[in-house]
Amino acid sequence: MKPPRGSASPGSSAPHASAPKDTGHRPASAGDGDGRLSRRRFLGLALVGGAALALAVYLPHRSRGPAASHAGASEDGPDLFVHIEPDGAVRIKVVRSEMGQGVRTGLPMIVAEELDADWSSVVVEQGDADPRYSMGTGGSQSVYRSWDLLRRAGATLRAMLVSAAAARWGVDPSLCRTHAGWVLGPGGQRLSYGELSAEAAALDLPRDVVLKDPAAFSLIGTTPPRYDGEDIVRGQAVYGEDIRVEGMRFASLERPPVPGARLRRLDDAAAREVEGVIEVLSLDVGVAVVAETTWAAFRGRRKLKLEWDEGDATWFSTAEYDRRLQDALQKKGKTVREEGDAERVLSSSDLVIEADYSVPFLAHATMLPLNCTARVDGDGAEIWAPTQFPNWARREVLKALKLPEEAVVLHVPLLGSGLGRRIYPDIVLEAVAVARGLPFPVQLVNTRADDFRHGVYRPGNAHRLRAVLDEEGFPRAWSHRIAGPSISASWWRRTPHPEAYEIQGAADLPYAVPHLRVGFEYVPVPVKLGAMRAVARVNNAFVTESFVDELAHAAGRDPLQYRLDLLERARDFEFDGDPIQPERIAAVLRLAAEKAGWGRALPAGRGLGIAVNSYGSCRTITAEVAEVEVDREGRIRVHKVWCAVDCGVVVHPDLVRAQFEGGVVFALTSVLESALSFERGRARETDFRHYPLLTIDKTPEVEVAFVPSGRAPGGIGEPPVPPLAPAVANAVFAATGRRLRSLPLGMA
Amino acid sequence: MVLEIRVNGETHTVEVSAGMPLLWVLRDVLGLTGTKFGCGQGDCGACTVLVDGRPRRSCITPVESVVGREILTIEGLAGREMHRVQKAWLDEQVVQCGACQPGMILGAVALLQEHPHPTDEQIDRALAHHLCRCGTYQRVRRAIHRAADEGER
Repeated sequence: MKPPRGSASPGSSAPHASAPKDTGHRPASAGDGDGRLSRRRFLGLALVGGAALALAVYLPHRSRGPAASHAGASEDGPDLFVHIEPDGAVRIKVVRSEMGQGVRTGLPMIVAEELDADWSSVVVEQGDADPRYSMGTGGSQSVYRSWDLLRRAGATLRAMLVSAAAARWGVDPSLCRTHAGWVLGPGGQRLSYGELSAEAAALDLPRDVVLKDPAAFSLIGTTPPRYDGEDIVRGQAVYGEDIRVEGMRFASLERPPVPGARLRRLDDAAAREVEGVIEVLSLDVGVAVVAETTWAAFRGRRKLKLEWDEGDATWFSTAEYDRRLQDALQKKGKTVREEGDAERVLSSSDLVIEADYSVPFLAHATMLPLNCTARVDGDGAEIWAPTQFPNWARREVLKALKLPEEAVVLHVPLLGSGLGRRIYPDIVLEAVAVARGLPFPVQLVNTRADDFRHGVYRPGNAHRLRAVLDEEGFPRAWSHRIAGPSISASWWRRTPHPEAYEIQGAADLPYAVPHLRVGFEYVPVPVKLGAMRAVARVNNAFVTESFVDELAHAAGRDPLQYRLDLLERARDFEFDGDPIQPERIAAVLRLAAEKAGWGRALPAGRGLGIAVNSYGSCRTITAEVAEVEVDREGRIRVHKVWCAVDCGVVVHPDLVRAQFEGGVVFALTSVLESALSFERGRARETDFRHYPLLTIDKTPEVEVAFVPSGRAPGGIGEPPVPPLAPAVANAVFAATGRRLRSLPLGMA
Repeated sequence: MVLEIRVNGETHTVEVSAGMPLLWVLRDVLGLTGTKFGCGQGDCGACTVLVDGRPRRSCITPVESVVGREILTIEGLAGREMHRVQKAWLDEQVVQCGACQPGMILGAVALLQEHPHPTDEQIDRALAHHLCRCGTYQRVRRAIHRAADEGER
């Protein structure tokens, strides 16, 4: 999830486009005098007092998206700790959540590279929520934001260990080398990092550490095993739902069926009769059934007799909302980018190319349903929350329970897929609400249907694209109207920037168009909306990259060459503080096309389609070519996808490849399989039969090519997703001559 | 009611409600949390265990129906060494979030018992009802082929 433009949250007055602020670099412990501070802290690094060498690392941050801002998570703090233990273990505490992206492997690799640690001696620990940390995992930001500082952290520790060894040997530090956890002296002496840790801890922080020449990297660029891999394949990895605490019970929560509904009548007699049911609690968040097992809680819940006053939100249905969107598309909407005067050029031309696109709402459908374990007693609360934003959750708990800082501990087990859904603290607050009435810890577990019904959905929306071409066939005017709901307004109804998320990937169109306008018309919905992997760029890449394809065909041009020509004429610019660089984008397109054999002859019924996306907020550019077959019944099969990426230095090529393979499957699920619809304010699809996920038999081959680069790494979790839908839709057009303008793509 | 079930070669006496799915006996009664809860309706495959060597969706398998049978969960798959399917999984770096993988691995073990050298089509058929939200399917396929090759040695 990307921070929105000018997020209107309380406490975030500056738009995030401002340069990353110098993050406070406050001491982790209060009371350090200034003199000591400068000796112990320098540019985002701080020595942690103690007998062994330990360093806290403070990353630079932008102000965040609604989630973080909502949480008031503006404080800065260390994002990572590195401890060199006397036994040689390098303990690295990561304060980011692992949801499959490999952050517990990638971040430590960067430190270990510059430290010259023995990778097998690295022990990764998971940080608890802590107000000193600026925690939060989203927006494909973890590696992108950490690169420089983690390198300096490793290099700083290495320099201190070298100094300690050199002092012991009475030699100049410049004569010492390091290798795999050892300092090697000029006379063949060697001392392990563990042996040197205590002496190094007494030294001052060096100021001018030298970073490695990337050509000398020996760990970065290699593919060590994922840190948690063996625990996972042995069934020993601990996810949120696997937390088992002494005396704990299980709970299932019947929530209001529609936003704003109120409980009118509850009859829990039958539920209490169910074997294993201990308690039924009627709470603000719903009716909780507490039992000896999850199964008994689910069964008891089914026996509840409930009547609700459903309130006003029942108007919300897909049919009604689609009508409202069609009306809204007639309006110009709020201008979010304007160059020249597109509306005038369009209204004075007889040859306007016009197309309407639509994209449905989606549910995250994380592999493990939402869950949270909590113990609340007189002293405070201990919480086990598989969350992407531990501090937001913890802060909300502090508010809800009116407890002082130190009274709430929140641990972060493995997430079991996040996709943005686990940014939001709803399940944590619900678990705490249930647990505070009980003398034992409780694990609240959603059913699969609960996850679908009480989602924080990806917004669906409608788009109207209009263009006029010049004599050469290039767009002289381009107008893109978006009508739809707003993630920001779903959290702050009165935000002046309801478009903050929804224009990403539309308003930063990289192509040269003299008369360009992008407008947004806000159409409210009563359900909660939020970030889902690649957020609005998924919808907007589908729409803009399909429409560019339409224009290319209208101009009688090859869709690849057409894009390259448009990029050739375009200039570099910044949008929302992020660079848009047409030349880099063109290079990525060319690489994807080359790998796919763009232009080659294909059998009847097959086609190639291409699309590109520049994911400005994490600096990564991706292009994808899909080879698609459409059979006589109109069934679409994607055989292969070629991905090209410019993501700077590739820290762990295999983890990056995995993000593409998985990103293609994730994207293809919503291209071919699933959509969420609503009726009477409720989600209609509440299981995998009605909201199918892509399966192994429909999974295409995926090939990934990297643009060689020495730039600092960009993000990689989200960028694989946006180009896939338009690449497939464009390939369907190439194969059949039919232009599909709504997702999921259907030929029927 | 009190039942005896055999899990990973050990006999357990458990007190459970009639009709309780095996999944919840494993997770909430025996504390074997390697078997995952994904959907509770037999749709996703995350809860797959082997019953007498055959894959079963433990979330829709009443515990009474497996009395006297040998139940194998992910925790029991490795002997002194990891099973060749687990090793192949690591060699191909299959896992991402990992939540579906215990079920997927046991599905692969059962497939290899039936077809020591499965074709892609046989893999697709056997695992078509195992959902993976991270999209590890390509590597699942590769890992199964690798494990099949290892089985020959």
